[in-house]
Amino acid sequence: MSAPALAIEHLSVEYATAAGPLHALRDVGIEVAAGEIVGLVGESGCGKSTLIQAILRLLAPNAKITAGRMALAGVDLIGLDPEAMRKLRGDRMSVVFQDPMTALNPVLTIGRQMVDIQYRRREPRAQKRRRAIEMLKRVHIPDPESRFDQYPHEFSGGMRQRIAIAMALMAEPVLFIADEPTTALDATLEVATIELLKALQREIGCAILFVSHHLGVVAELCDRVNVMYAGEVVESGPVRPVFQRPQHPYTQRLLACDPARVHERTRHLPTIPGDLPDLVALPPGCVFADRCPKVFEPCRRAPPPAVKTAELEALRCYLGQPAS
Amino acid sequence: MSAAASTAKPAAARRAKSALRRVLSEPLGLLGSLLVLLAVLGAGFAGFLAPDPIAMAPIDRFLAPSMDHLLGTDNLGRDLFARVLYGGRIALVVSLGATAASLLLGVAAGLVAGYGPPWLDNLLLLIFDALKSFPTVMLALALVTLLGPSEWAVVLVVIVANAPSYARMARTQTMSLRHAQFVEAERSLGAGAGRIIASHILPNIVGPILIVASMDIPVVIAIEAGMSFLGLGVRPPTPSWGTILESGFEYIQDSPWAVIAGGLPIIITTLGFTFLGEALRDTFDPKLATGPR
Amino acid sequence: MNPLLAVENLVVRFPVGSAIGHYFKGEPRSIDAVAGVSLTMEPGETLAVVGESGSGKTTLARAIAGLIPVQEGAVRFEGRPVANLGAAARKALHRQIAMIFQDPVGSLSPRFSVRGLLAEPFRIHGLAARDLDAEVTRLLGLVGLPPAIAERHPHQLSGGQARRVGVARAIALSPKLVIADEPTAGLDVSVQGEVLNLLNELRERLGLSMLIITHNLSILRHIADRMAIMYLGRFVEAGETTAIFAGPRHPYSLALLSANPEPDPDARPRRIALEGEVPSLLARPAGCEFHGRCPFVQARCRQEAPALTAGPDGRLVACHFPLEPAAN
Repeated sequence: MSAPALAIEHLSVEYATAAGPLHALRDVGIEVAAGEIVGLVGESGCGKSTLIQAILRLLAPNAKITAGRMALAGVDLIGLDPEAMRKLRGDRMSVVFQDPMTALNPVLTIGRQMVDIQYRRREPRAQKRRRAIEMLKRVHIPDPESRFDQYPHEFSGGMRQRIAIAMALMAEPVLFIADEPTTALDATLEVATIELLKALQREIGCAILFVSHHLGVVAELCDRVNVMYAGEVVESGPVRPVFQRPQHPYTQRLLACDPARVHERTRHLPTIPGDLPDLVALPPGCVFADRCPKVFEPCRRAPPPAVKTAELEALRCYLGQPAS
Repeated sequence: MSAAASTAKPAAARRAKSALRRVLSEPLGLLGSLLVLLAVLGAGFAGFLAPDPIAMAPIDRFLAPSMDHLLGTDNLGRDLFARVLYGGRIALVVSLGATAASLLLGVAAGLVAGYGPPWLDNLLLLIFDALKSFPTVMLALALVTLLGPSEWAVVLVVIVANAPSYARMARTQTMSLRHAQFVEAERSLGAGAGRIIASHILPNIVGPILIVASMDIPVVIAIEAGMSFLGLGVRPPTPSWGTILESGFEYIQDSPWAVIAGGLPIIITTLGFTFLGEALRDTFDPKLATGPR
Repeated sequence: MNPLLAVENLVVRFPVGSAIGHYFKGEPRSIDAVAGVSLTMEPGETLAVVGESGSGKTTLARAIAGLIPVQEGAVRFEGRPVANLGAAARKALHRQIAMIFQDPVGSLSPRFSVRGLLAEPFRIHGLAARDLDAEVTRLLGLVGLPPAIAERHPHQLSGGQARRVGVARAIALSPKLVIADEPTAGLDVSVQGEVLNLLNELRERLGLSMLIITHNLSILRHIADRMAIMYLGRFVEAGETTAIFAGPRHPYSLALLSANPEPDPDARPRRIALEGEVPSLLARPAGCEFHGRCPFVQARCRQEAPALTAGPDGRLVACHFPLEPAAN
């Protein structure tokens, strides 16, 4: 059995701020098996961006990894020197970000950009060009031969996102990270892009870490999902149990709040009242305790450990655990 | 996004204090601040620190530095140290005043050009570019021919030389903010152009322009000194670093001290303002990361 | 009794390109971002205008709010024409029609405190003599924000808080119509409900009418009585929200409504996949402008543009072959 595409264990990341160390990620564990699509769901402030930056080893200067292990297809990422890390990025792992408008260099044609990023291959230019055009066809860019020499501003947002996906997958990476790739797109484009990702992933066989706050898309696309809140993974498992029988109160509330789920017309949509806790001065107990509708006594004493249950890989909640 | 725990009023004061701390923590910033402080204090307390700068004592001409005359005397026996300090007043007042005037006119014109209708923008651009295309020395000569030499001629030259750049900067920033959503929101509330320009656009663009202006101050000091050196600026017997230099060169065979006395303060203030301006610019660089977002 | 708002055949045109391009290459001189839209709103009603990027919905909102000039057609507010007004009349209109903008934090002037932002409407209209502190506290209370927030600046606010400040500012002078451009954009799912609940509550309490511009169909059901779907600057379908959700008649409406994945892995989406992309406004298709992407296209669609016609139940559809309820 091959090593998982991405294995993160007990990862903690801190930022040095004027007010003290900010604990952006705490004991985060995520695994993406080879060829699997894993979702990462969370709202603003949950630490998704920090996690992606950590995986790419592109954290801000005042951030540091204080604990944990990260490995890409068995290769330890934390101990790697910058040169070796640079070799991995774009080749064995690639990324697509949220904003298609700024993902591409506006002063170069897309063809030039697609050929340039193949710089690692020792091939004649013509062959690189062919591969690039082939990739454009696979992402359904109409008339790729002639559009090859056009500039990014001549494409719509949806097409630019597809070009960005094409560039990321051209190297056939082990791990493809998609950071909210459809958030900025209209609904019809979003579903088209999801279908595209599904098809490409089947062909290329890479593993995908799909980060999104759009629950419906994650449910449709992913095999497994991790739910993050305020820097922790609170629930993690295959999509069916997590979406159909969520155990963590945050996941339950999150799903209940999704207006798409609320079919009956109502004047009072459910919400999660309260705010995120201060990540510099963490509460002593469970990080969700102040906003949790099911909070009880042990929740405020100590943060719940991540426990494996019958259906889930990890659950951080005292409710799901046998009384100690 | 988690709500910040701080409130706004002390936050502004804290930002200013922490900015000051950041500037002073840089070696260049510290040095620059000290030099500028030196120049300002020297000019301010000239009355206490030095004797009369225009008292002539032909007997004591070309004296070397001593306890009575810290920088020696010039060709007319006037105390050079006193002339340097009083000259500092001219330098600082003229340069700061002229810079302030350039900023006022330039930023105002830039705001109007950036926010107003295209025909006004084109007209103002024409004026900016025309003014910028004058070589400074020619401009100085032309103005002095018309107006006669004086501090005001210097101020006018500085304004014509600098205001167009500030205007262009203000114009560009205004044009980029003009379509910002908060501007549109204020328009939707009924705010007129004047209110939007003054309350909503100006405060957001003025920062970088001020920093550029602070880095221009050494240039303005040099313009004043240069014009006075050429006899186009302040008239004798008012001391100016430029006039000190000028008479120093004339009599350089007799004593080097006048040249040193004229050149030294220019070097000190130029370095001081340059270092300070660069430290300020670095301090306000938004790319310094201080947190996850 | 006049409707609160009546829009008749509105056209908003923007110039594009250069004269040279036009004369030598036959490029169009202008695009019609809004290409003939008519709608009415009664007091106390909520109407949603739905569409994707390029549909013209934001332009329509701006035109109704008096922020941009209109080239053809009319906008009547309480019976009075309000398009292309002079500066003074437009300022008076801004007291009646308020707008909430898309970017919660970006629509707040960065150097102003919340107090200053909420006081601006009063100052602008010469009402500064009022007890502004009391007004600010009142407005914050109406939108459920604590009074302490008045001292904060926009960058210190969360998305949800900034959105509420925007709402408070919009209702400051008790307008009759509030236009909300993407009220849930940029907000997390767990706070979207807060904004929608707030808008509903304010509508009832203050007797507001609301025009909601959005591309987020999932929130519509909970806030809008009627809705209109826009494509390339025109309405393709309009009617009661619940009726349209139950049985869309235009193929584009069907595609839009089906393009909303549910957070349930076992939900089998009966999705209508659309071919291609939205056509450019510079090159409008002939006939029905949707024909190039329509899964049910027929010969007539390519030649003849359908008019927006009303059915017996009041539903407006612009399609030669509207879908029957059985087809859904």
